[in-house]
Amino acid sequence: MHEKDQPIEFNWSSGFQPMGGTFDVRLRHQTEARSFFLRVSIKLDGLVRVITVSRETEEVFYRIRNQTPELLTVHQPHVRYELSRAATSESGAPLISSVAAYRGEMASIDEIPPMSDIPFAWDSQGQRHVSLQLAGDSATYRVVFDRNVPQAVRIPSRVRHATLRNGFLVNINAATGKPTI
Amino acid sequence: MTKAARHISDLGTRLYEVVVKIENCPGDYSRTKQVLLLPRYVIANRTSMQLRYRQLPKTSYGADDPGFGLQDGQNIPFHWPDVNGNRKIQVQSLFFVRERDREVHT
Repeated sequence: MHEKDQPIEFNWSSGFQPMGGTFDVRLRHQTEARSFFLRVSIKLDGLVRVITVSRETEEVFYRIRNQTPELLTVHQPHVRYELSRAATSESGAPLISSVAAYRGEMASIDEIPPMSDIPFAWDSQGQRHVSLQLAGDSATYRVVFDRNVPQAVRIPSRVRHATLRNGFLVNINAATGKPTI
Repeated sequence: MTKAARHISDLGTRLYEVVVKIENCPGDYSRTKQVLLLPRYVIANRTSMQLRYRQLPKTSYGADDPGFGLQDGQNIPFHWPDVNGNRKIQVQSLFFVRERDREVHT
């Protein structure tokens, strides 16, 4: 073993259905802000679905690039809904109102130093957007990933939306601070 | 003829999914039918590391499930340990990282 080799233990990836296709899964380090990516390819071999897990040797499908001089924080919503069912008294009046609370987990946050980029993969299937925020800027950029043609960037007040085609880069423009594709 | 079949283990909650292929044997044995039972899923490790895999736990109580180990280059059939669980798979690896591993970033 190399002198600098260190054992690294990562969390489990998110769950994926063995339905077919090729995608990357992300393994986050248990305590540090490190990630590792594995590529999962599911193909039919005759009648059998073969799930091949490999180390991605080329670029992952997404990269997020920070072209600003500020630290960029990427938050991938990894929400967990905790629902409490509404209870009613004998008269039918609600005792406890229905509560839908969610919490974001620290594990879903990445920080991209100025003028650099990081590989990106989804922590959770079904959540196909990220929120980007620059240090010192109160605006949050909500970026939606989609296989469709990118839509125009909408800027409703301080929240800005962009829809990206699969595999596109997200560039944060240094001059305007806006995400471009 | 091909057919998918499911079998829930009598010994627990495992779900075995297999595909059945029935075909005539070739040549002189053409009047003989051959029945092939194959696993529906096979998982293959091509990571050059030891891989672990498991069925996605239903609750946080299953978070400590160590799953199953799979050596590099190994292929094995995959079956669902819990018939009532999520039909999703998780993977994890324990490996030694070097400075040149560009995939790991801070």
